[in-house]
Amino acid sequence: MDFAIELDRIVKRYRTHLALDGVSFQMGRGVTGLLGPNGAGKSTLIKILLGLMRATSGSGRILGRDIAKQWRAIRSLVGYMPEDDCYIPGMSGVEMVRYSASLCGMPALEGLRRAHEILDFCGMGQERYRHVETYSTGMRQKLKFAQAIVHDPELLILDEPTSGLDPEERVAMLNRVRTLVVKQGKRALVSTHILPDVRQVCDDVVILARGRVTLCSSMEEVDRPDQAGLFIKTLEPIRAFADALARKYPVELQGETELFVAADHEGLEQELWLLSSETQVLIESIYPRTNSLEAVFINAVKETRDANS
Amino acid sequence: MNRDIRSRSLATAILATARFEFERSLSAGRLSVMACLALFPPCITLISILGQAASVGQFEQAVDVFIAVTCYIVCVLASLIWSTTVVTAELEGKTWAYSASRPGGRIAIAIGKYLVSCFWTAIVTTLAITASLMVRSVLIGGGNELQTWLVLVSAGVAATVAYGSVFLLLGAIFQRRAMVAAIVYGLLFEGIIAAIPAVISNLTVRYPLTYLVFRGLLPDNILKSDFFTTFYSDYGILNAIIALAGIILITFSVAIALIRYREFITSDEA
Amino acid sequence: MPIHDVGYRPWQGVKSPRIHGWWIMLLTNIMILRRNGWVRRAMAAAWLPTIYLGAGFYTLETALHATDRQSARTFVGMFQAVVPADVIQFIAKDVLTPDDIGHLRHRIWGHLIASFLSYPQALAGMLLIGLIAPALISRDLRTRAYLIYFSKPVGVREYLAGKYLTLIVYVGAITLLPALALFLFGVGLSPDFGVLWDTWDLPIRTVLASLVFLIPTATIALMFSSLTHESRYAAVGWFVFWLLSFAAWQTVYSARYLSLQYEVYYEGQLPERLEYLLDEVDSRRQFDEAAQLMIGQYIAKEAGDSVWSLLSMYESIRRVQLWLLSTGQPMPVSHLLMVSCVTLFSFVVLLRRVTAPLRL
Repeated sequence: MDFAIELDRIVKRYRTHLALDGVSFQMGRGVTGLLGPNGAGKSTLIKILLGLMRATSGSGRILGRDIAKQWRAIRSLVGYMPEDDCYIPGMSGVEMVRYSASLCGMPALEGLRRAHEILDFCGMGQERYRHVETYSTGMRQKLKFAQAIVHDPELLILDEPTSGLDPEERVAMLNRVRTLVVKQGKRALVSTHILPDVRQVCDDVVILARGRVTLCSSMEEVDRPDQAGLFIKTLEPIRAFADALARKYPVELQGETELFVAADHEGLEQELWLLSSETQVLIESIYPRTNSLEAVFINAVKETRDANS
Repeated sequence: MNRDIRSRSLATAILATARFEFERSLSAGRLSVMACLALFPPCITLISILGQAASVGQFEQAVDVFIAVTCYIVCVLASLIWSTTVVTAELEGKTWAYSASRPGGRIAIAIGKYLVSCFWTAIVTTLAITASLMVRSVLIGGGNELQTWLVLVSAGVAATVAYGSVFLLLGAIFQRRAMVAAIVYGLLFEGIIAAIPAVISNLTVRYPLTYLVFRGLLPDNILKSDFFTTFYSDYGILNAIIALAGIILITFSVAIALIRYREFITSDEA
Repeated sequence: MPIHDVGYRPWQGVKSPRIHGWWIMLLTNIMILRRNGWVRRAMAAAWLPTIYLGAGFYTLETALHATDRQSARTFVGMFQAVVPADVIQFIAKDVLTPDDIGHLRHRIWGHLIASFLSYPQALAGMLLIGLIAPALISRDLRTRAYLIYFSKPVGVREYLAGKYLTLIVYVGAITLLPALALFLFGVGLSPDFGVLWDTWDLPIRTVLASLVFLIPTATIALMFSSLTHESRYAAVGWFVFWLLSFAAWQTVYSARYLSLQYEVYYEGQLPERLEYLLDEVDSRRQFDEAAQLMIGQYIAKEAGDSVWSLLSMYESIRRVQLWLLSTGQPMPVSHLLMVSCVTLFSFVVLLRRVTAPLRL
């Protein structure tokens, strides 16, 4: 499998502070979420990936290029969207995107055409002709995204892509990321604090805490619960249904119309429908139990804290 | 009654701003800038005495002029640094909205910061004058140090208030590049136009100010010389004081009016 | 919203294999600054002294060739402050031989261009740099625009080159360009192309003298810009640096000048070779303007001949420029060293500051 990012025991030390402590992971296809509390080392890691700073030790490759030596090639192939506002006052939106295209080696006229095309894709209208310093936070996010993808990079590194966006724009931004990955075959590393975004858009997740990778897994793995089971919700009081079910499986009542059954095997659904028919209790919904990403995140961070203390 | 309460609350706001700005100005960075400015004239006085090509008479009077010139430059620079930025610092720091949204906030911030600016400029200028005269006194001796000190310090305080008002006005007019505008003003008006012996030089701060300093420092024979009478004709101390007071009053009032009523743009500089 | 949206399409074109980030930055900075009315007005105003100097070249060429000495007197009146007194005396002669003319032309053109570069254009250049440079890096630090460059295939060297070139192009357009235009104007006014034989080296010297101004000033201005996130502090630092260092030297110079003047006029102390001039000056009946000028220039030279002149960066640059544009001047080693050291120091600080955001 060709990896977009391969890191092997990356260490970054600032005098007395250890920012990254042997970070190793591999990122394949799709979207990978990079999670971590503040000060976990995410920004440092991104800077090392882009060749903006050197790792104290360790090695890594991005799209097959050595991060220590081939920073120029890496930056040509990577589109980076920073978390902070970054703009040049006095330039219009379309000029900024064209500027980014030119800095990546696109011919001037083609850069302008491409800038317009990308701004259309990002849902930017006539405001593209306004000076960037007059933009709202949402428009600046779209502009940064346009600048990151204008040169058609193979890998996107997006730092908090949805911060400051309204709910509608947030969904649109995540859809754009998903479109680029699914339809155009790009890979994306999304650093964010917003866990619902990760659940919505990511295929894999890497959790960084105190400079260490505490979890590197697919979302499928993360979602798989420690204890299998189903949540059942009924339209009527569930007591009779629960009593009947409790004869065969461990059951936990969760209110007047909800229960959790600690079993999830083939044929269980059929049994539930039959039981519903027998007890005359109508089922409203059946959900498999999944792990909460919040819980996984908090556990991962807590484990590192406990280990350190 | 209402007016009384309003003016009392404005005075409180001005004092609060001045106190806050004063405390803020006690940072290491600002204090080191002040120290550099205050030490500049005594250092130059020292160098000019040590580096003179020949030790001859009349040099003592020349040193007084050097002290006056270097302290004048320091006073103008200190005013430029602290008074020009009264408005632009708030706009660039994006704190203008907080000041503008309070009753009397704009005026309070303008006058409060202006007062602190004048205070520090006067302190720096006085320190520079005192230290320079001490250097002169130790190395050369002679002369009437006390009279020179009084004349220069009075002129320094007058220059502080006058240049503070002028630069406050320039900062209110030129929202962007106020510093450059102030420097161009300094070079053009105070550098060139003030040196023209004509009515136009009355529009500058330097012309009446130098007249007052010369009257206070130079002996009668020079004051009656052709050069002096050509340049100042029958100007007079009262005229000089009226001219200075007029400049201060007009520029300060216009600046405050502009700050009070103008709609400033708070976006980033282009 | 667009009427027709093709969505995202992969880009099939060919990217430039070697990206010249500095060139793109230069073009973009020029585009932004072109919109600035203040910069446009300052640049237009900075060309005005060229008219005066152009008139000077015209008068000089007329003086060198006409038998009527009126042009020579006009020229002397216009430029007695900057052209050496011995040259002025020489030019005032009744008859000039072709050899005289060739020699004089080179010396006077060199002096005129040196004065042009070191007085009006240096002042205009400093004002223009004060207008442009403070925001060049401080703005990138404040708005984090450096991430735009450093997340693209642009290195620190290219970034700095782009900033340097922006300043050099703009300030060069009001220093080097008008100086070369003056040279061409002088050639155009001369009787034949033979003048190129006498003055072929002046364009090269002009370029070097301009670079002596452009590179140190650009480095110092960019250093100030890199030290702060707020451009107004960079502007203050820039102007205060030049103003204070200039004022320091001017005070020392004035002290030296006054004491020497006293020594010469009141105590009659002049070098032996110039003593005859003193008689001419003192004797009111035989008052000689040229003698006065020569004594004045002697005092100015002696007063300026001090190690304290190193206090002023402007003075150091001016002396190196004068050395480059005039023949027979001794190399101002200490000033050359001073300019180099300050430039190098500023560059090191600039480099550290520019790479600092990346190290954080």
